[in-house]
Amino acid sequence: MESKTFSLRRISLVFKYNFITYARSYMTYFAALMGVILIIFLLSLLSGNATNSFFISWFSTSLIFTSIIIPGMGFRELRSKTAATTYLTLPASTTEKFIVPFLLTTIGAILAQFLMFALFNLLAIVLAGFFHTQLEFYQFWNSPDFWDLIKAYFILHSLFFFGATAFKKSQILQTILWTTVILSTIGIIIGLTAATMAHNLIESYNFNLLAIAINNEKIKNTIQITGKIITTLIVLLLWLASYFKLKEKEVV
Amino acid sequence: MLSISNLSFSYKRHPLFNQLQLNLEPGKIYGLLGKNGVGKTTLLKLVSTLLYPHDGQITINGINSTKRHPQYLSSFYLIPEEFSLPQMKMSTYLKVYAPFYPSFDEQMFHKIIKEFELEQDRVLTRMSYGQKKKFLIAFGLATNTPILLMDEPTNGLDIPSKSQFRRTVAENLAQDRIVVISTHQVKDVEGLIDDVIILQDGVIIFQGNLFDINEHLTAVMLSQEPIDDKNVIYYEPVLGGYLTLTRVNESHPPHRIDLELLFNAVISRQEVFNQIFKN
Repeated sequence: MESKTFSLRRISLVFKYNFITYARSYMTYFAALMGVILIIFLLSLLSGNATNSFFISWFSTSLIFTSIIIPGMGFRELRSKTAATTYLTLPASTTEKFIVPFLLTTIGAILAQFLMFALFNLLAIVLAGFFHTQLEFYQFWNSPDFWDLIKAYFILHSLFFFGATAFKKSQILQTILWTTVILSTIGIIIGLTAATMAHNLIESYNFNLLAIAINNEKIKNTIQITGKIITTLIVLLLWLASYFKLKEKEVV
Repeated sequence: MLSISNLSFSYKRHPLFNQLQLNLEPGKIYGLLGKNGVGKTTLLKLVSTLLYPHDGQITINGINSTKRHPQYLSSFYLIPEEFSLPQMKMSTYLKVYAPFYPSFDEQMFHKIIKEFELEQDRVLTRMSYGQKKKFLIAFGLATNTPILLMDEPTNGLDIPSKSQFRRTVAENLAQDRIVVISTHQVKDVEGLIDDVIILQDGVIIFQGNLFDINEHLTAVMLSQEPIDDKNVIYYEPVLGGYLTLTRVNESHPPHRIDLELLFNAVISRQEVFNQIFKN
């Protein structure tokens, strides 16, 4: 399977490059994350507050944390002129150079996160045993929030992955800052528009229409579906924008 | 073949190249010469796809540079002036990067590393700047890409290493390769290059083969200032007389030209050179 922009041989070489270059950073991150959760768990164990709910809350918290840090660490070659020179001239297409970190920071990172959490969970059960506390293994894949968390992972991933290609310095902080600014602006605009519409309805004594608009299930569903479509489009758009950012990158 | 046609490029408000034309043929070592800031590095960056041309095109064997096709990228190797190496052993670097270049010659690499007196399995980040540069030169030569671009390759090399560099490049080059050495230290590439390309103000003011140049021009040392000699193209005062570039004639037979003298002569007497070498 060899074409101008896609070849399995080159994909495997780019994968090897990424794996060797980033392995230490990824392992350090997951080890640090596991260490922090373990310390917090030990503290709650010592204070007699360790229950099964600890696993539930920390599974989601750590997954969200991973969805910010791992994609935010991507494309670090582009942050320095010298490293970008080597990376951009490496004989592989932009598609190949994009798809490998994309897969590593999505599927790869999610699997690593699951493995890390399962290990922590087992270790925590063993440690709790020493303190005569009985805890159960948390089967996160059976949790009702599991798929919502995965969706949240992808949404945050798209944001921070884009940030990694768009900003030269402090990618994670800048992404948080700009997302806050943009979301706040959108929130204010939507809020003001909604308030104006509601005010007009009240002024025209059309209370019924307002009540219908608020309580109507159909309208609620439409809003929810529209929200989901818009979110999916934004995620896809951000991934596409990350690809083009990489493609257009220059070393000035 | 590397072909640059109608290339235009500028940095924000500073135009650099306007309709630049250049064709480089296999089997030659080109010396890209010019003062600081004339655009030598920028030209190499444009060929290496690190910058995109604003107009015109750059092709290697017919493949355009602008889409960063793997075929284009695998047909050259750039040894940049400023570089960084990852924190890994030489052997790991080889495992990661060498497979991207299908013609990579590992035997040649180890041979050059030995010639450069580098330890085979050192962590790259623990080496000195000069050692890192030698490592990159060895890697670049061993890639066997059709084109090898070197930006100020002798910067940071000590005196013995500079002559070692010239020897190594001359010994390890395949005959069908294009090598472009960009430098402002012309003495360092003396005796190595076949063709000179001189850049000034974003324009190639002279391109010529050193063999041809040596057939027409010669360098002589004169004790008196050659004011009225029509054969003299350029001269400069040096200790003990005047280093002079003159046309070859009976009294001044061919003699290998000092590259620095040639460079200075072209910079100050561009129109005369263009007249002599217009064909």
